[in-house]
Amino acid sequence: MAKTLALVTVVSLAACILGSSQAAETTGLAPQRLVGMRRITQDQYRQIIADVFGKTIKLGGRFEPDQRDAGLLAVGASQVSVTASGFEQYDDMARSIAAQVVDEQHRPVMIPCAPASAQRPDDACAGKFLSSVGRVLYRRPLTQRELADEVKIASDVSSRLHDFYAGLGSALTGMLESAQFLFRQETARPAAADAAHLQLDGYSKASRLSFLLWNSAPDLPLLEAAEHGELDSSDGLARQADRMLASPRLEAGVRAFFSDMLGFSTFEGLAKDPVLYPKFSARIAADAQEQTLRTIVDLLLHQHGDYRDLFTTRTTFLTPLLGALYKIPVTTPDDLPDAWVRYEYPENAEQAGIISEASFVALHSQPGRSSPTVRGKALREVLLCQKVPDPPGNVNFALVQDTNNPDFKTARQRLTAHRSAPTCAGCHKIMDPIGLALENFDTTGAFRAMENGAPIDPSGEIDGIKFSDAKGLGKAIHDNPATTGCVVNRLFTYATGRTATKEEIGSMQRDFGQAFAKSGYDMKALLRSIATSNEFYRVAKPEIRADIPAASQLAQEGERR
Amino acid sequence: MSKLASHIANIGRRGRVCAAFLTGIAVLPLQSAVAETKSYVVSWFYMATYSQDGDCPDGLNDSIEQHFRKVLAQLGKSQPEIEALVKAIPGSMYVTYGDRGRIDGRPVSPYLYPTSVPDPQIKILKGKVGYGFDLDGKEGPDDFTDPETGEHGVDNQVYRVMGCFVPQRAFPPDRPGFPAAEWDMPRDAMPAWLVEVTGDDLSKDGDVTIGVYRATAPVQRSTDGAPIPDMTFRVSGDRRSYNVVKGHLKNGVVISDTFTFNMLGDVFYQPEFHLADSRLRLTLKSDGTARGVIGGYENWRNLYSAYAAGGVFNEAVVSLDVPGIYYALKRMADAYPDPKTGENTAISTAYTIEALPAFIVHDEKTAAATSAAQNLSR
Repeated sequence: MAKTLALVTVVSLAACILGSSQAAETTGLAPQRLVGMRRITQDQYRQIIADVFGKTIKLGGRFEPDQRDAGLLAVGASQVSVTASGFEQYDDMARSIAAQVVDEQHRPVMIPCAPASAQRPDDACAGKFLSSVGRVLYRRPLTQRELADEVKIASDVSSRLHDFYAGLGSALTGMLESAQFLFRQETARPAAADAAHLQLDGYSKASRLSFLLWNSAPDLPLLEAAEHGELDSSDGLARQADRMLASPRLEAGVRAFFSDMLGFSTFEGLAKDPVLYPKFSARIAADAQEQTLRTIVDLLLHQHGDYRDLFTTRTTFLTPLLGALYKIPVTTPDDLPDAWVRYEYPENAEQAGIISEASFVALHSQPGRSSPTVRGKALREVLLCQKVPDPPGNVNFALVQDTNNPDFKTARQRLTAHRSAPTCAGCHKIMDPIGLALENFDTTGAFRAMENGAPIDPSGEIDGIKFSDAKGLGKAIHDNPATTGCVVNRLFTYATGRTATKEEIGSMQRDFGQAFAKSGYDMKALLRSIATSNEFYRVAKPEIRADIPAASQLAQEGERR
Repeated sequence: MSKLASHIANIGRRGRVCAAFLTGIAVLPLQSAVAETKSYVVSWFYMATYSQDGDCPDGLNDSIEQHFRKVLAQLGKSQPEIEALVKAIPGSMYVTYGDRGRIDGRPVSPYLYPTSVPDPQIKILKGKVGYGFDLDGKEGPDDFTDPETGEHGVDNQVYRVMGCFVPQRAFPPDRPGFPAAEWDMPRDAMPAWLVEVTGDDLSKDGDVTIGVYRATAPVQRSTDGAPIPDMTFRVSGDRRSYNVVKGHLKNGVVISDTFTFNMLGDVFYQPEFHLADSRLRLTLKSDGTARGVIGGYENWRNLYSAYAAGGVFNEAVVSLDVPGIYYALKRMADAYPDPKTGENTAISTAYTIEALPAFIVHDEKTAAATSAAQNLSR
C-alpha cells in the first residue's frame, strides 16, 4: 500500500511538472521552466482552505511535519516531498474538505451553479465550479486539459453514484491532494538582460508576493493582475504590493514570518518537568507564542514602530494563565475569562522585550532547568544570524546538568567550571555571557531572583558591550548592527525559500538594509522593498545534470509501471 | 425557625440594608487603605482530621461488604440470599440500598427518610486530640485539644461523628480521602474561594483584617492537577459568600475574631456553608502558601443533606452509613437548641484550609459589598 502511494506521489509530482510545460504550450508564451517547488506549510494549507472555502470548513487529520533548514521552515519547504503516510493524511483531509464543500449546508454558497439534475452529471456546472476553485487552489488558471480531466472525473463518478455532488467532491478531492496544490510550483523564463538568471512568470510572482505578505494563495485581484501581465512592470507590482500591505491580512504574513524566524514550530515538542514546573502546560506554551506575536504585530504593524524596539519594549499582552506564570495580576471581563489584555511592564520590572518572554526563554531551555548556553546560542543564531559551532562529540555535561551540586549552586558557577576545559571555552565564550543575562527567568519563563538559595548574577557582555541584566541585554541587542542585518537576511531568505548567495547577502544589506534604516526600521517598509524588488523574483538558472533523468521521463516511467 | 437560621437570616437582612445605603457612594477596595495584603486562593477545604491509632476504641465503621451484609440481614434476607447478593456487588447494592427504609411497611429512601431504618449506632471517635476552637468557652468531656495551638475545650463534634469511617481518616499533612475528593470533584466548575489578609505590616505581629470571598470563576489546574497559583481572581459581589472579619497576626499565624462564615459551595458538594460563632486560624507560610483551620457551628441538618444527596454512592462506594450519620449528627449536635423542642440545631465542626498565592481584584460593586460586610462585623 505504502509503495503504491509513494508511486502515486512520484507520478503526481512528475505530472505537475508536465502540467507546467503544458500550461506554457497552451498559453502560447515562451517556453517556461519549472525552477522551484515548495511544499505549502501547515499554516498555509489551513489559511488557503479558510480563504477559499471559509472558516466553517473543518480540517481533520494530521500534517506531515514541516522541515526546518537554515533556521527556517520556509527553506525546508523546498527540500521536502510527500511520504506515503503523509499522502494518506493529505488524502484524508482532501476527502473531508471536499465532502464538506459539497454537502447540503455549504453547496448553495460554494457552488456557483445548480445542476440540471442532482442525480446526473452536469459538465457545464462542474466545469464552472472546478475552474474557479482550481484557479485559486493551483494559483493559476487550469489548463484546458487539466480542466477537462477534472470534469471527466466528476462526470464519471456522478454517473456511477447517480449523484452530481459526489462527482464534484471526487474531482475536488483530487485537486486538493494534487502536487499542483500541495506544492508551490514556480516557473520562469530567461530574463531579458540577464543571461545568468531567469525571471519568474506572473503567476509565480503572484504566489511569492502573496505567500510573503499574507501567507496564503493569491486572491482574485492578484491573479487577474498576473493574468494581465501587470506584475511584469514595476508600477503594477508596486500597486499590488501596496494593496496587500494595506490589507489587514498582512498580519497573517507577519505572524508567519516571525513564527518561522523565532522557531515557534519547535514548541510542538517542548515539555517541562511537570513535577518541578506544574504551571507549565500546552496552553501556556500556546499563550506564550501568541504573547510574542501580539507584541510584534502591535509594535510593528499597529504602532509602526522600530523593529529594534522589540527587544526593549515594555508593552506586552497577557492572559490570566501567563499572568500566573509571570506573577502579574491579569483581570479579564467575567464573560471572557481567557481574554488577552494589553499590559505595560513598570519601569523597574525585570522584564522588557520579547527575549524576556516565555516564548524565548522557555523555548530555549532544558525540560528541568534553564540553559544559558542554549539561550546564548539562540540569541546569536536566531536574532543576530551568527552561527555557533556544534559542540564536540565527547563533551562531559555532568557538571552543567547537576543543578543540586552544593558547590555550584547557580548556572553561572556551573558553567564557569565547565568552561575550564579548553575545548569548551571557545564557543561558551560567545554564548554564556549573553545567556546568563536571562538567568532570572527559569525554564518556564517565570522570574526568580535566586537559584538554590544563591543570588543570581545576570550581568554579562556582548561584543564588548557590558550590561547588568536582561533589560541591559535587550538594549544591547537593540543597538547591535547585526540585529537589523539579521532580520533583513532572514526575511529575504524566508521570502525566496532558499539561503542567499554571498553576492545577494552583500546587495541585500546594501539595498534593503539601507532602506530599512532610512525608514526607521519600519517592518512594512522592509517588506515593501523586498516585495517590489527584482531580486525577489529572480532565480538562478538551474544546473542541468545529465545523470538525472528529466521529470517528464520519470512520470512516463511511473505511468508504465 | 431555629436560632441559628434566624441569626443568619438577620445578618442577611442587615447586609442588604447596608449595601443599599452605600449604593452610589465611592468606596475604595479593602486593601487600598492599608499597607500590605496577602491574597490566596483556597486549594483544598475538607474536614479537619488528626487520625491516630486508638482514637476509635470500638473499632472502625464497617467496610462496604460488612455494612451490606448487615443491611441485608436487617431486611430479612436468608444466608444464601445474602451470599448471592454479596457476590453481585456492586450492582446488587444499588438495588438494595436505595429503598431499604420502611414506613408503614412500604419501601422508602433511607436518605430522604433516615429514621425509616433503625439507628445503626455508628462508631464514634473518642480521641482527645482534634482541630478546631473552643467555641462555647467551656471545657467538656467531649472536647478536644488542638494539636497545633494546644487550646483546650475544642468543640468539634462532627469529627467525632465522622472520624471512624475509614475514608474520613488521615493524619496531616495527608488529606482524608473522601472529604478531599468531595472538594476536588466540583472545583473545576465551582467558583474559587479566596482569602485576603490585610495589615499594616504582615512581617510583624499586629491587627489584621481578613476577607473570605467567592470568586467569579473557578480555579484552573496545573499539570499536576492542583490549582495554578498566582492566578488573578475577581471577587463576586454576592454577599452570600462575602466575609470580612477583624483578626490578629502573631508569629505568622492569623487568628480571626468570631464571625459568621457564609459561603456558597456547589450543588454536587455542599450547596452552602454557614458557620456560626466561627473562627479562622491561618498560618502564612514563607513560600507564599497558607494553611489553617476554620471552625464553627453548622446546622447539622444541612450537613446531613450533603451526605444524603450522595445517597447510594456514599454507602456503596465510599462505605459511609448515611442514616447512621443522621442519627449520630442529631445525637451529638451541641449548640443552638430549638427554643420549642430543646433539640440542638447545630453541631461544632472544623475544616482544614489550604491556600495558594493569588491575585484578588475587587471591583466597584464588590467594594460596596466589602464596606457593607465591614459594617456588619463591627
